[in-house]
Amino acid sequence: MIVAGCLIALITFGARTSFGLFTEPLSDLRDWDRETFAIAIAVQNLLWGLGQPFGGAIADRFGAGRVLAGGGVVYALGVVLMSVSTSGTTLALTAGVLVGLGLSGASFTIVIAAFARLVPEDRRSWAMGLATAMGSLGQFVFAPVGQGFIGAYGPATALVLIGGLVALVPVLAAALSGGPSTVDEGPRDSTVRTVRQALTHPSYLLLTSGFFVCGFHIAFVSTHLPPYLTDLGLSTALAAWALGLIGLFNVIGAYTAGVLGGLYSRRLLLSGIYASRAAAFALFVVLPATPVTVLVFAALIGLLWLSTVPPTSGLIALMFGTRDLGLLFGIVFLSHQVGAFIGVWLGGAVYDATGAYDIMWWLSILLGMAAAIVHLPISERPRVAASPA
Amino acid sequence: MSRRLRRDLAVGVAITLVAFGGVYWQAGQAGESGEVPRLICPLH
Repeated sequence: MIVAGCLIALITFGARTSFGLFTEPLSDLRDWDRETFAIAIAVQNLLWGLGQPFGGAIADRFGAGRVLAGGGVVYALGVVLMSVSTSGTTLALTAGVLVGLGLSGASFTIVIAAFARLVPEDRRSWAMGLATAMGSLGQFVFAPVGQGFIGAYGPATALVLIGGLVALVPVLAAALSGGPSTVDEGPRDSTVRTVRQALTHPSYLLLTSGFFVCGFHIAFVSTHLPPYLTDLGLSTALAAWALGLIGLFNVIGAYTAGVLGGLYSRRLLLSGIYASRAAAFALFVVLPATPVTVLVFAALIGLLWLSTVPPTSGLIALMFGTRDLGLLFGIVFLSHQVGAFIGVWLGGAVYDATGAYDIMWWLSILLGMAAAIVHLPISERPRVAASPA
Repeated sequence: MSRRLRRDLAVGVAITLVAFGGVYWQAGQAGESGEVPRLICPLH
């Protein structure tokens, strides 16, 4: 069950990150400009973020296995049909709508919710960390595979082959099949009431605001770090190594956070992660940019990258139980994606307005410090259920 | 160190080794093409 869930996380994220490899060859093949591909991926991100709470809620009610299988089918269909998309509209429908909706049903948030219900409580954090790390590892597995397919068969056939790998998700989902949570957590509330209770729970709101900052940070850095470094006169090869190191240390950090989350306070762990991010940003801005400082920054920020996921999802499970974890983590994830959108957009807007990223770095430091503070008062114990109205 | 922690550590090392191989490949690609591959975060 753990192996199947990890493979689903690896495949769904790996296939998605390999899309970047198709931008150029597919655009050349279809005579598209870069905006055509960018719009399709933007639609995908939007639908994934918006659809995640719904995918999570359906998984909570009817079982993660079914939702993962359905999402996997839609995702695979979207990837395969990308290969025959000849216009911007059809690409937006396949790579955007189908893959985005597929990800809402077949992504690591659903896997994490399933793990939380299926593994013993004392192994929950470890399992969440493992799923996050395996999702992150997907990029390293699928990038060479995708590049190999493109080189050997061309981008269109390569997409069909990638789609074939995604089609393994419904098969793997059988291992996570079964109904919703069987843990006795009292009578089930309606979805609307569950959401209302969560959104009036101060600790949940603090956690959601913290995850917004997480999205802001990582989307800003992943998008704007390379041009920032080249603006400073550093080479693109160094930028590539920096991104590679972030990816490598992200795998280590996510897994380690899962292990630590099972041993120590999750809110303090999160507070420490965000404070460390603020410190890493501050040192990076203040110290002279040299290859050594860039690579050390990349390693540090990589360790702190998705290490927020296991303690954040673990805290939700602790506060609200595992029965509605798909829905409640989906909402927090939506906040993350909104933060990511703002991080990318504001980075570009600030650069266009000022010709530099200085304001964005300092804003990232301030947000990191704020996130570190807001996690401190989070209540690390089960929510006391209100009596039914 | 407990048996469980040793096992967790072994899993972590195995994952890291695979990731390291991926970074090596990624950097090689960047060296050949002169472009920075945007393969960094599964969420974006």
